[in-house]
Amino acid sequence: MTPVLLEVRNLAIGYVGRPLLSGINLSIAQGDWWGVVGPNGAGKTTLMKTLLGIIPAHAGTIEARPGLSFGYVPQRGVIDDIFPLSALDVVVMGRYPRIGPGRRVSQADRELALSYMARVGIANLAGKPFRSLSGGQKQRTLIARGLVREPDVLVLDEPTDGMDLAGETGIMELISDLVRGSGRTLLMISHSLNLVANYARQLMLIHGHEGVFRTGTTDELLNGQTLEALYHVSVEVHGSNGRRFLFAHGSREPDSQEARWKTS
Amino acid sequence: MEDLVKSIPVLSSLLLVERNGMTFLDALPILQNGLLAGVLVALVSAFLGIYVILKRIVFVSAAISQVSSLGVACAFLVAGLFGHHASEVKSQFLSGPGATSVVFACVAAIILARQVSEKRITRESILGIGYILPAGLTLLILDALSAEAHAIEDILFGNSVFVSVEQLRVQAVTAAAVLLIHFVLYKEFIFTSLDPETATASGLRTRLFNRILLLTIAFTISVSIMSIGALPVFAFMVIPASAALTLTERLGSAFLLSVSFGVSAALVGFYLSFVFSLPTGPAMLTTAGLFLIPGGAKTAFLRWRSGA
Repeated sequence: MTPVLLEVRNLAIGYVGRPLLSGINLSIAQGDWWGVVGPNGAGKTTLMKTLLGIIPAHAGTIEARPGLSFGYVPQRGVIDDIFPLSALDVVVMGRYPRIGPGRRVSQADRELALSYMARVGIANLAGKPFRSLSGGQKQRTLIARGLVREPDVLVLDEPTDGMDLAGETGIMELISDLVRGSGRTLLMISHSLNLVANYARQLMLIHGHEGVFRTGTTDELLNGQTLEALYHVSVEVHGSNGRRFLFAHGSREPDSQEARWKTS
Repeated sequence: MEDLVKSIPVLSSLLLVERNGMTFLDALPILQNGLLAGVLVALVSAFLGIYVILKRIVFVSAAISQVSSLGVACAFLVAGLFGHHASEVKSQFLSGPGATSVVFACVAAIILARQVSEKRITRESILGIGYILPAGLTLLILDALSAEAHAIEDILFGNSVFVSVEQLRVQAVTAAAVLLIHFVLYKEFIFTSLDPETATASGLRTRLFNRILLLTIAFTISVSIMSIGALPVFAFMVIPASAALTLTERLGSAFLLSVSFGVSAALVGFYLSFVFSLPTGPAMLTTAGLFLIPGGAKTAFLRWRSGA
């Protein structure tokens, strides 16, 4: 049986004075590949930040396996370009919590950072200023930083946001390669259902304002009926050559039919 | 000593320049505390200035300096209410105005370190209030204690020329302590400043490190303004770091350049103030401003080259 890394019971999330969603139950196991999807402002990032300890939970419990470590890959826009740091400096930062206060970064830490930069295909950019990199290169740098800590769970927040088709595909193939056979657990927030549909094995569907939180396998949840209730648009899911394609048609306002998966 | 200086061509023309019948070399024993205090303030402020610029908290440091000044004024006000004369309060500097200044500044730093989640009032508004309200209250207290205002202003606005041995010691200990803390927690301060959420997710105590960083800034400001005055301290926090950050793409070099610019500005500014009988604080501040020229020229050149 696959070991459980994180067990969430009756979790309530939100910001101070602004509760968003309650009654969240979730179990994350080693090697899972979760896609976290839902409309804008639905609470996807809030949920992930709560699981990571960035935001305190309003209620409920998060039980993590002792020693469980997270690697977080934020949206690349959160890194302020005013900092004069090289791409290698940014990646090495992922090692800081392991090094501890008062100790300098060792050659071994630098070499490990360089090896992860090579794995994400940016070893040649190590000395370049982070601020001079393209969007895709910055994203790869942040993924390398998330991995250099060698975490059990890697959490990615919109890793392909604002990228063109080639950049988007490149990043998703990279993530897929990095996870394959590593036993690492992956949680990925994404607006792009077409991407999530073809990579994630499990889904978290979330719509905080309508009290919706549902989990299951991609095969179970990725169907027109489920997505229509979540996004209030008519969605068709088609398959071809083992890949899924999603098409949306027109909008449908939320009606008297309340969201079907209210958490208990 | 004078013979040795005379034998070195450039140094002799610099150090033996006369003002009011006294050479700079002759005046040095009288001025040395002020010069050393200026250099220490410039060194530590220019170092911290890199964080002030990178964290975009320039106005936090301005607000802290005003709150710190209010702490000094309050110490005199309370002592006055109990019938103590300003000169008595001044003689017990460390337990009186020095202590209140540091406490006020540190409390302000802890309050300003908190994240504002209220939508109707912005962080800028809070900083504006934190700057202007203490400034107004300080002026009111100075007005109320007008008979002793001169003694208070001496502490409040600093006297960069004649700094007491006690104040110089406090300045040196502060600089050493702050630089030691920054040496030990350098990585943590950088990570939590650049990307606080990822730092938290990685297990770092981001809030704690942010508070310690702001406290080192608050402590430095409150001690330094009593040595050389609020305006030069603010200048040393902002100008050398800005000049350095426009010149380099490496963080380590930015710290080194900023400290070099700050210390050079303190030394040259102090010397120029002697030679041309200028007020010392503004002379150091203006000299620091000269270090912005290379970075400005570089930026203009890069823009011209890229056709922007």
